[in-house]
Parts: sequence; structure tokens; C-alpha cells
Amino acid sequence: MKEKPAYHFQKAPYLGFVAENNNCHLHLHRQAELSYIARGEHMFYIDQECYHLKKGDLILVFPNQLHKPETKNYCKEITCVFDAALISDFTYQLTEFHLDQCTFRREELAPSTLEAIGELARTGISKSYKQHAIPFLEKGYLTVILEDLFQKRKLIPFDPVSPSYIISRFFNFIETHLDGDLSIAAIAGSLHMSPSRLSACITEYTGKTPHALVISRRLDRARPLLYKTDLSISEIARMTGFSSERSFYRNFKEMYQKSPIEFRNKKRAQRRNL
Amino acid sequence: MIRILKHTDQNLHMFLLQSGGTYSMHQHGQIELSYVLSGQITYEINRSVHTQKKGELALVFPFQPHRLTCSVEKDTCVLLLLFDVDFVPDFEKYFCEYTMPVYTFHKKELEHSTKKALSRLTECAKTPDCFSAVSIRGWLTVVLGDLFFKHDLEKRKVNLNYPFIRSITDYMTQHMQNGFSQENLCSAFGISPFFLTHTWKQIFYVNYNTFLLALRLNYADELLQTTDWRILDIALECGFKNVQSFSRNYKKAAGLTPCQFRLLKKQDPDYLP
Repeated sequence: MKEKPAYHFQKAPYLGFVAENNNCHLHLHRQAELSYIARGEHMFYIDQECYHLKKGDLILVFPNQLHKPETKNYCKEITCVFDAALISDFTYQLTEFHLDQCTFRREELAPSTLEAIGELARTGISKSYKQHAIPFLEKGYLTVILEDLFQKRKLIPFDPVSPSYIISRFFNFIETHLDGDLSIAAIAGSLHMSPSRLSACITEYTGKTPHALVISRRLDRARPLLYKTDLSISEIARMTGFSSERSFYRNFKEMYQKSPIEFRNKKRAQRRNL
Repeated sequence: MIRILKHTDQNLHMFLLQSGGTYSMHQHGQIELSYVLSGQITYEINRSVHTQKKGELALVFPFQPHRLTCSVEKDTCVLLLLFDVDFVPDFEKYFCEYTMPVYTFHKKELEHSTKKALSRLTECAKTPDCFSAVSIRGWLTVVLGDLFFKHDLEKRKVNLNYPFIRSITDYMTQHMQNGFSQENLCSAFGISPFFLTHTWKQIFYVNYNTFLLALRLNYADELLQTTDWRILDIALECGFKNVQSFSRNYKKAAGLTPCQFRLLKKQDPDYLP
């Protein structure tokens, strides 16, 4: 594939939508993706392979797999993008394995699965998610669907040298060590790779350097601390793993064109007005 | 008089209860969910009586004393689901820290999605071999996700701590025949007498003595069925001082003497007091 992939950052643990004529560039994300074709036909590229999907077919994309949906004529699909950690019964299977075949024909699906998909489409982005931290209804439906799907296919452990596996381990590591040492040498060491290979792999598949990804995750974590707490800037910088207040300040300004203090004051003023 | 019933050792037990089925007043650490498919049943939960008609749902929280009676005249069929708190880890917090102000849900209150999930669960109960615990957990998550946010929850005065509760009831069962006292229990667990008189009732809804008696009778029930010991031996084993007090208490709770119960159980293994 000549096309350069993009890495999609998404924070919500669950996102569901019904899309018509979905065309998207080549991308990957931390979440798993489930797509059901309600009408029409659809082409789906996953990891170099092309799948032709017809009405009633279902496809499951594992976390950090490169994929690209493409519509030729007309297609209506129901898509949910969800964290592997959300479906606690299958977190392990979703992160450590993939399936020998990731498409499912309509005839294969159990009636309960079809019903669960119908319900997912009906709820859309449901009320329960807005009110609570965990989208319970979606979680329940996805558990039912995945239970059926995983029974029908064989689980194959991820190839340890495949890029999607490396990327998922990379993100798991930086997520759990954000406040510690995240130099490229340290990360590569924990993944048992050479720094240059890791760096090349990450840059090729996400379009960003490992360092830039680390910085953006750290800033993501610093933002809520700025407006939700009264911690001093140097304290927040230390908590989110920046080596000094100055480097935090510089990176923050580069990313958001505002200094941390300006951001905090503006956000608080907004809240007061509400 | 109250019994402690342990329906099952599994963390999930699901079945259909037909007309005429009854359960006398009892309590257990599992959560009970009942959904009436046809006919009607009477539920007494925590001293309030509800008549549950077709399409209505009831949720019994851990240790709430309850009694269930199916009406005999009509064709009654009830879906009963009993599960441990850790079967649905997402809701563990809610079950241990809150209670619900209502026990039953009217047909109109239930969302469309909940009804569908319940009919799926019914199907699972009819053909238990075709469904896995995981898919049942999935549908149950859908049902509970709806129910829990219908009403404002009430914070419990004392949170349920299952490991502690389990160890304390285990201790009581093990030391039953030694005639242990409240002081023994207090010193073994480092709790105060205040705990036994006040906190106990917040957790178990009944007072300490009632609970202990129920635990003793429960153990006696088990011995009556599994052994051919004399009544006297069973009475002593369960911590009663003499046969008379055992028989009296047993009759009060079950409506018949231990001996009668044993005979009936021999004739009909499914007999329930």
C-alpha cells in the first residue's frame, strides 16, 4: 500500500454511528471496530487484504489493525468503535489474538446476534453513555455479539513482529508509564526491540514519531488537571512526566497556542459563565 | 420466621418457575431477579407485599428477606435469575453501596430494549445448554443498565463487604455445636457488641439472634436430609441445648416436626417446607 496511514486518537470508550457511503482513508486506532452492512455493498481493506462485503455481513477489526472502508455504489453500515477494556469478558482475546477470518456472512450469525446489532443501531449514541461512565447497554450487546463471533472462528495469537502488535504494546506501555521514563531506549528495551526499529515502525504506521506521541498523551492527561484541580503548574508537569516546568510550558504552547495558565483561566471563566 | 436458602453454589442460577411453586420467607446473599411471563405471583419483599402481573419485573437486593407465591388458578410461569454480585462486576459497586427505593417495575416502565433482553434470557432458560454464561451476562448487563438508572438510589448506611460477611457466616457455621457466644464472635473478628446489635441489622435486615437461629435450622435441614442420625444428635450438632427446643423452633419455622420433614423428604425428594 502506498497510502500513508493515519492514527486516530479517540478518547471515548464507545462510539457508535450509522453511516451512509462511508469512505475513509487508511487508518488505525487503539479501539476495536465492528461494522455491519445494513444495505448495499462495501469494500473493506484490512492489513493488505481486501474483503467484499454484502448486505447482512459483518466485519470485526482488531485494535491497531490498519483498515480502510470504501464504498463503490451505495452502502449503509452500522459501525461501533470500542475499547478492548470496555468488554471485560473479551479484553484478553481482543488484545492478544486475532481471528483466522474476520468477516462473517449473514447465514452464520445467530439470531441473538442479529437482534443485538439491531438494538445497537437503534440506541445510536445512547442516553446511558451521556449519564454514566460506562455505556452499559452497548457493553451488554457487544458482549453477546462477540461471544457468538469468537465461537465461530479460531483465535490465533498475534504475530509478535506484526506492526499492529508492536503498536498496541507501545501504547499500552506509554499509557501505564506516562509519569516515568519514556525515552525511546526505555520503551524499546521493554518491548525487546532495537530503538531504531521501534521508531521506524511507529513512524511508518502512525505518521508521528514516538516522542511526539508520548508528548501528546502527556498533554492529554495534563489538560483536565489544569482546570479540575488547583495544583501548581510545576506539580502538574511533574505528575505528567515532563522533566521540567519549562519543557511542559513549551510543548503545551506549541500544541494549543496558549500557555497552561491562560488555558486554565479561560476554561474556568467559561465554566463560571455556564 | 425466616430461613436462609442457598439456591445454588454456582454464581448464576436461572430457571422457570411454574404454577404452584412457592418459597417461604427467606434471604440469601445472591441477587434475585424475577420476570413474570404469564399469570401472576405475590412477592413479599422487606415487609411490603406486591402483586406482580404479567410483564412485570422484581429485583431483590442481597439479604433482603422475601417470600414468593405463585397463584395456583392461572397458568403461571416466572423467569427467576439468581446471581452473585461478582457475576456482574460492573454493578458490584451499586449492589454493595446502594439500595433501590422500589422493588418492582411496572410493564410501562421497562424500555423496549429491556423487554427484548428479557425475552432472550427466557430463551436461554428454556434451553440452558445452548447458551454460555458470557452471553447471559451480556443480556443481564442490558437489563440492569436500564433498571439502575430509572430511580434515584439510596445510599446504604453500611456497605456490603462480601469477604467479611462470608468469613463471619463461615465462622458461625463451623463453631455452631460448641455453643459459642457473642463475645467469642466479637473477639474473633475484632468487632464491637454495637456491631452485632446495630450494624448487623443494616446488613442482614434481621437481628443477630434471628439470623443465628435461621443458620442453625438450615444446617439441621441439611443433616436431616443427608444423614440418618437421631434427632437428638442433630439438635446437639446444630447447637441447640435439647431436643425440645430444637423441635419447637423447627416446627415454628417449617410448620412440621423434624421427623415429619425427614419422612416427607424420603417420599418426595423435591419437597420444600
